[in-house]
Amino acid sequence: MADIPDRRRFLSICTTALIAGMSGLILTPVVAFVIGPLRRKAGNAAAESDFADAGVIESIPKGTWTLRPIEIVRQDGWVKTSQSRSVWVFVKSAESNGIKVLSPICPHLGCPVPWDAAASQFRCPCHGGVFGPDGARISGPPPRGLDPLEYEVRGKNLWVRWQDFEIGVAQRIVVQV
Amino acid sequence: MGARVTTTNAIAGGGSLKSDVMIQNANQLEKSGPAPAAGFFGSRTGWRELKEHVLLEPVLGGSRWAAAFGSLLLFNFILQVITGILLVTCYAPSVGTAWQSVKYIQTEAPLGWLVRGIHHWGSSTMVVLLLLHMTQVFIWGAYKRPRELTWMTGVLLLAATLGLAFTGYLLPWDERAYWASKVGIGIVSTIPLIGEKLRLLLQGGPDMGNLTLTRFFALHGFVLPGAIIGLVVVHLYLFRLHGVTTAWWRSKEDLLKDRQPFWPNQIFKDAIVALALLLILVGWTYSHPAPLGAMADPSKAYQARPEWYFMFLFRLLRFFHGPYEVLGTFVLPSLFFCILFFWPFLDRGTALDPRRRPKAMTIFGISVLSLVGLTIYAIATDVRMIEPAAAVASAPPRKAPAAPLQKLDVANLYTANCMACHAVDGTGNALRVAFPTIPNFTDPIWQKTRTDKDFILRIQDGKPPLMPAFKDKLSAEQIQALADYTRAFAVKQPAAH
Repeated sequence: MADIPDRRRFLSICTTALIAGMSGLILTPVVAFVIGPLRRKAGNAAAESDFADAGVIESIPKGTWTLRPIEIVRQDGWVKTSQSRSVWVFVKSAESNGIKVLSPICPHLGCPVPWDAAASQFRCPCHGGVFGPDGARISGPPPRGLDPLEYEVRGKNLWVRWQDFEIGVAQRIVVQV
Repeated sequence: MGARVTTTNAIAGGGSLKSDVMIQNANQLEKSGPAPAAGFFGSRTGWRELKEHVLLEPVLGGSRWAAAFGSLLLFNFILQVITGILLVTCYAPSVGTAWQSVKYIQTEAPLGWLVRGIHHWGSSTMVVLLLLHMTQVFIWGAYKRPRELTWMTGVLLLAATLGLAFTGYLLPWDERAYWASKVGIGIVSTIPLIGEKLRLLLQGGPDMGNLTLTRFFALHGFVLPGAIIGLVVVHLYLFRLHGVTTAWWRSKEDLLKDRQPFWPNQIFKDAIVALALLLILVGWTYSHPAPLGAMADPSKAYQARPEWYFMFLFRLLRFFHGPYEVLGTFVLPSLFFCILFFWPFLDRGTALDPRRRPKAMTIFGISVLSLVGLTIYAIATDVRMIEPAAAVASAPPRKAPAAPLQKLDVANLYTANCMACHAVDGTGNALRVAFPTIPNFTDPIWQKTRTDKDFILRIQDGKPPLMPAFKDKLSAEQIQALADYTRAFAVKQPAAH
């Protein structure tokens, strides 16, 4: 008779443990599914496909910054799509030397940054970051200058390698695709 | 009573569990046997007792208009749920379909403009009502013992609502949705240590795309509404447990004298206020259709702006430079949220009268003033800089679709060829400063002075120096469709249905 409360307590401990175990059993794959994007192995991003045609160099205005559209191919979930991006290109002279290419993504929080020709500066319209004509940070919240992008001259065309960089940090860290 | 004694005896006497259960059942039967007048459903569901408990409970001090905020919020939330479910029936969350399906809802689905408009503007009223509700609770001292947990679930409801606002903003996948969410996700990524991982989790990958839309959709349509429903149940349970916080200026005798049942006295007032909100929302939606910008294009420059209720935070971020950025993006907002959440334990005085709580009221006043002030200041001083005239080389022209032109294809044509100058709404406002001759398609007088033939010729041959000719770029069918599309700007969207 005295053992009934004990037995009931034992049973309630067992039931609690059973339910806890069951919850764990359900939650483990739930969590694993949700954090899937973290466990995905970074692909070999350095591949050739990351370089995109930014147009004939001759057609790019000289001595000023020009926004050039490029098309990159990305695996976007269940489809491989062609996506548009744009890059800031500076070609010094017709001899196609002195080329500079910058990502338009502000390293502060990711807004697209326009070139203010009158002030000869890049000025972010979101939080007021200001960058010099070489992309270096002048003032405002951004922790670093605009990110330079690799490029190659192939024949008459300029090819640019699109990359995303982690924002909000002083170091330039490539986001692995 | 006798049955209970028997139960005890049964256990003491070592009776089996089986008989124990049987006696328990008999006990229940005896205690709550069906009342003679309960009727078919009454005896099976006990709804009379429920009604008695939930609806007829007397409210101390009688019904009040000021007590309607909570019910009004619940009503607003239910409106959001109903319109949300309707939107889901037409919405397809993927990069290739999200904008198109929202455009379809807005322009073609019967009453789509109304459903989407109420959902869109309803999110703003939800935030406003939440802040008013919290203001009232604060002034009344309604967070004080024993109502601390009611307040805390309320703060969690605020967080979930702001989460809904943030995740819902992305779903139309127009330009402002894309860039505002990119900045929002950027803010998340500045959280120390786990920020970058959180960004990946939210985005579902290294870049914003299909998986970002499906994840935000899951959060917006399932996770956060589910959390809100759960929290509302707890919030309401706690509210009913402790009752309405009585006004500090009324005596106990006065309050007891004035008791009125919740139904119908308070609910009548709640319903009137709810009707007012509904009428305001419908009226506002009729005169201000929910905005839908051009489809998101990561290659186009855009001045990202959040919804107005996040503008104070947006503005705040300008003040924190370089390594101090995290102060504005993470430390201050989470500190503010923590103080708000634990406020009932920080302010433990028992006085309800605001005049006897000078410290709390000062902190409250400063917070409200700075929040409202910063919001007004941020919106008032936000002069979107005019786009510098950087030549954007145009992408190769799209091939003409083989199938008969659908409305959506025309919208895409307009977006690709006309929108840069004439703006998504056809007003041409953005460029009028630079090019004063740009027409306003929404102006009925301008429309009346042009024939259909004029439209087609103008699109075909252009008008130097600014308007380019499209006869080499577009088919005759496409030009005709664009002419019709341009005509339609003069018709106000809601009135079109």
